[in-house]
Amino acid sequence: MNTALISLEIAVLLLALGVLLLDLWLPAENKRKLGYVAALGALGILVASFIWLPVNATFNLPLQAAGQAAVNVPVYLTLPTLGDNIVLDLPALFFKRFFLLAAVIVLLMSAEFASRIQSGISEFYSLTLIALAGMMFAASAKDFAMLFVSVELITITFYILTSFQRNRVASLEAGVKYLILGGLASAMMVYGIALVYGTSGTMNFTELNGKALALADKPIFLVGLLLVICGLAFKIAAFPLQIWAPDVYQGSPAPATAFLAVGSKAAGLILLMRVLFSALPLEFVVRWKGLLMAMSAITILYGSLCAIPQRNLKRLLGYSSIANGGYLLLGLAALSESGKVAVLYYLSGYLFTVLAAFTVIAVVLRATDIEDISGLAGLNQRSPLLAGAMTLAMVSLAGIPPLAGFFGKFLLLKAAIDQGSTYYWLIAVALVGVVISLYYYFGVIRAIYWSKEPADVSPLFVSLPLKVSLGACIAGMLYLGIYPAAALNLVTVVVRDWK
Amino acid sequence: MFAPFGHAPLAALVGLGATVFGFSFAYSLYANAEKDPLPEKLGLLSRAMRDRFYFDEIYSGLITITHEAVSRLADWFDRWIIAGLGVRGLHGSTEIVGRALRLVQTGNLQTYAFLFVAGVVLVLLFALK
Amino acid sequence: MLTSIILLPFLAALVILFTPRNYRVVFRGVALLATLGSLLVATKMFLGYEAAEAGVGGYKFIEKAAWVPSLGINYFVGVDGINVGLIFMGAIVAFAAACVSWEIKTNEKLYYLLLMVMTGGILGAFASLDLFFFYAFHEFALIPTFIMIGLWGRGENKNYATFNITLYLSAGALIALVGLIGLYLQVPAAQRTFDIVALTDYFRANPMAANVQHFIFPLLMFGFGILVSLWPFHTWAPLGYGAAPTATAMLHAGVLKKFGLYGLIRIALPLMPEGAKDWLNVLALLCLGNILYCGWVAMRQRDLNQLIGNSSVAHMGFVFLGIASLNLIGVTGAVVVMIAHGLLAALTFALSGYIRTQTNTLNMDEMGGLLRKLPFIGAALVMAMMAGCGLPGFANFVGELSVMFGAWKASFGHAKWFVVAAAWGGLVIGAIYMLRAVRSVLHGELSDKWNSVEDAVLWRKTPFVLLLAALLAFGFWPRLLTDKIKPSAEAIVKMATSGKAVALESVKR
Repeated sequence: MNTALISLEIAVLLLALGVLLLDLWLPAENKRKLGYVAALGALGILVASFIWLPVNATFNLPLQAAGQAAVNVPVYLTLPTLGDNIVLDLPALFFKRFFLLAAVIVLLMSAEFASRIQSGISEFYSLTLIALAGMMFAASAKDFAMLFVSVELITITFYILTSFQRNRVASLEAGVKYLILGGLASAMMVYGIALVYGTSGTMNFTELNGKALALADKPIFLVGLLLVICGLAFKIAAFPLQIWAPDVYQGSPAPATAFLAVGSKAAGLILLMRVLFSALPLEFVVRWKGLLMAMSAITILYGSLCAIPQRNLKRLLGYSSIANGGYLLLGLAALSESGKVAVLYYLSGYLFTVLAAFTVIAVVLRATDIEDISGLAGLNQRSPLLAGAMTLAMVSLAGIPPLAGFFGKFLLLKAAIDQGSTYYWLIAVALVGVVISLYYYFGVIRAIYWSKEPADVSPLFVSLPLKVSLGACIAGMLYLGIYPAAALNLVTVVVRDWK
Repeated sequence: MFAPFGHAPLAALVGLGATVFGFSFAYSLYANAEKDPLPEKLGLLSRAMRDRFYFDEIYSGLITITHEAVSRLADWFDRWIIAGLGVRGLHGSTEIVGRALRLVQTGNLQTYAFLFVAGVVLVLLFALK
Repeated sequence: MLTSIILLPFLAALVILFTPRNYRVVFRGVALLATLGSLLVATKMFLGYEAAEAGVGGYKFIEKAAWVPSLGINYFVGVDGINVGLIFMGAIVAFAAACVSWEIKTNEKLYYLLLMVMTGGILGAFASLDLFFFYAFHEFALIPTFIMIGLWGRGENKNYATFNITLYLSAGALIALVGLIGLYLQVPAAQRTFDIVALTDYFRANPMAANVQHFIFPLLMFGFGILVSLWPFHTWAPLGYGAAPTATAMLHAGVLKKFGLYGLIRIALPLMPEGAKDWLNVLALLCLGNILYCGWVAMRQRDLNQLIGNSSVAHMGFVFLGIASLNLIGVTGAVVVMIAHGLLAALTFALSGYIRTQTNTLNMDEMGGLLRKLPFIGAALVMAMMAGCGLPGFANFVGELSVMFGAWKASFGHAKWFVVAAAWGGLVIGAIYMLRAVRSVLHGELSDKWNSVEDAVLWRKTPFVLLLAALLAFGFWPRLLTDKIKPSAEAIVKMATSGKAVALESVKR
């Protein structure tokens, strides 16, 4: 057993326990600051993942256009697997770092948001870290047992995180809804896993990959796989299990919502990608091309259309999150390398964009307690930084250059168009979704800059750590949008190392 | 200067004659006249002459009949059919669909659980058909 | 050289971003300096165009840097006869727009920031020889347009207008984007590039299959068409321009709107001759909608901005007709109309903006006799209206006449009737509403309420003088433009018409 493979997860869990222990000795007024410790710790683990996992080789990629200089890209050698249910390939590493980065920003946000959480803020940090560990395990899952365990680790911690504002009925309601609907989804998934194991006799993705084609005409096997896919759609907030998202997003504390929107969704996505591209051979998945396309189209339309009359900011982002789940599924439905590249790129941009938006929401909520879009009125006068970050986030979500969202959507469209005429209707649906989404994203921008109601114009205080994290989000959005070459190469290398 | 007489003597002579006739006719009418004698003598014709034989009115009327009418039609079509029915209609119907879809989002847990199961059944039916 | 034209406004935007909010003089000064700088460099480029050395594909002043090598995206700018004039015109309008921005009194920091971003995006879009940058610059310029209309726009329809123009134009741009990506994917994976020159070369040697052309061409035609207010996708234009602040209307109606036309000429025609052959017939029909129908609609308008907006849509019809005629004189005329109309639209919107700041209304029924109070502005308005109905001496006449010559010789059915219709629309209908507008705004009784109206002082005349001078200069010496345009237009027309035989052959293969 090679524990080195899960050393990052172990470090995160130790950090979570450390935060709980420190809580015992800290006076109550300083407990809020534990969030900075936790964030720094997660940042340290993120940095360590670059130093500790050594660069073993570089090789030339056939990526560059003809006649241009070769690109040398560092590549990490894949380590041997742990008992064959953990894999540490480049996609796993990519997602682990993705989750770590998201957690750092979420923890900083939580530290600012602490005043609105009645008690047990240290547990909030600690649970965030445990959810993070669950996501990181998910990134490495290589069999159904690991998949289920990591999903449950994430989901159960989120049951608590979503209902953490015990004094708010909305938060409790969100927690209960997430608990029951999440339980339903998990039940479906575990039933599906049982059916798959019963028919194929294996939990392991690699072994299943060899057996799947032979089982392709067994309905029980197919039902099992479909139930697993549906269970994962719950995490992505995609059709058929998307309906929980708006209520839970609206009710949960802002940092928990942010982590749900970015971390939990990405975890569901990597697991779905593992099931579709590691556990099953491409010849098998092709039969579900239509299913994936339909799921993508319905999810996009549902999220976009429902968001139109929405006035609550968090709920709006809930619908937007559904729509974005649909765009990510579009990349998967392309069933091609460029589709996977687009998904990973889109997700990276999505991280910075959504976290920037939720950071702004958290600060505004702390100050005004208005969740309605009109709470943003006059934000431009109150804090140009917050207004600018929110505007950029909305513009990026709407997919407009020169921001990350544009390049992500561009890659997704390219991947889909490349698949030929069967995808044209899905592309049309995606375009309709984008145009509708412009309407409500610009509604947010309008509220910031030209709302009619007399706005409160007292300056909003933004602490230094938040300034840094907002700055990082803005830099990320701009970097991924303006100069995509390096990140694109990296993502391409990651996708090529798929195990 | 006398070239026209060489080329077309008839035309030149008629022209000259008309000029002389015009001058002398005008002189006979207006010399020592207190007011314009024409209206008395010619009546309607003189009014038509004063009003340039209504050419401006004819043009103006023509434009009103043709272009103004077409213009009204085009403006109506633009306002109500293209901008109204087309653009606003599309916008409005999208919004109605959005509002209608939002009704699905009742907030009721039992409804959600039902929709979950219904969705999964739909997926199974679609994928296994 | 081109990079500095594009970069100056962006740098100005950065300077404005990091200047404290109450340094209002700085914002205005920086914006004026940056646009003036761009204009001077653009003038130098325009005048030095003939003498400059031609590079790849006959383009001049080329600058190129790899951007995303794995997808074949390059920062690649350069000009030929077609876009050199457009960039020059764009720089003139940008400077004029910065000049007339004195009417903005609130939140000036954000205003000038957006104005500079818009200017940079516009100039970048026309200078780009890379499809990706071409598209991205245009979208980048659209966002400030929307926000400016929303924030500093006027009229009760402002909010509706903002969302209408935002969604409409974004939809058009997205449709065009799908077409452009489709085009890019027609090249085998190893050679894929967004480089327009390389794509042109590739498709010259290996024409696209005809069925693909029939599919991609309409995507570009309607996508770009929406951006240019092709009938019946035009209603956003009068609505948006009526609500927009002066500078935004000038820049959008004058310059940014020409993006779609430029895209059709530069990309759709030469790369997809087979698609063009069929779809240009449709375009020729639709352009009558612009020329005649929108002219009639303009006749009914009582609001000066609505009238100008509709007439601007009508003028776009001439460009479409020139493109549809697909011969040298027609395409050349189309480009001349693009440039002339850019100057004219900027001039008329600047004038109506000036009148509005003085009278607080643009309802022509309330105006009258203003020529007595506004000798300069009034005279300029008369000249602009005359240019609008195609009076010789202004650049518009040259362009519209060439387009009619081109259409006369065009191959689509009943071409000569189209010319008659175009002449009728441009000369008769145009004259009716333009002259009526002059009559009701400038002549007649002067109402007492306009006693406080003042004419432009010397330095505020600058933008008007500049735009009028350019219109007259190109009207009297059209060869300044046509000598540059013709060789480039010829290459495009040649590719668009001779590709036919080859394309059919490739289908058989």
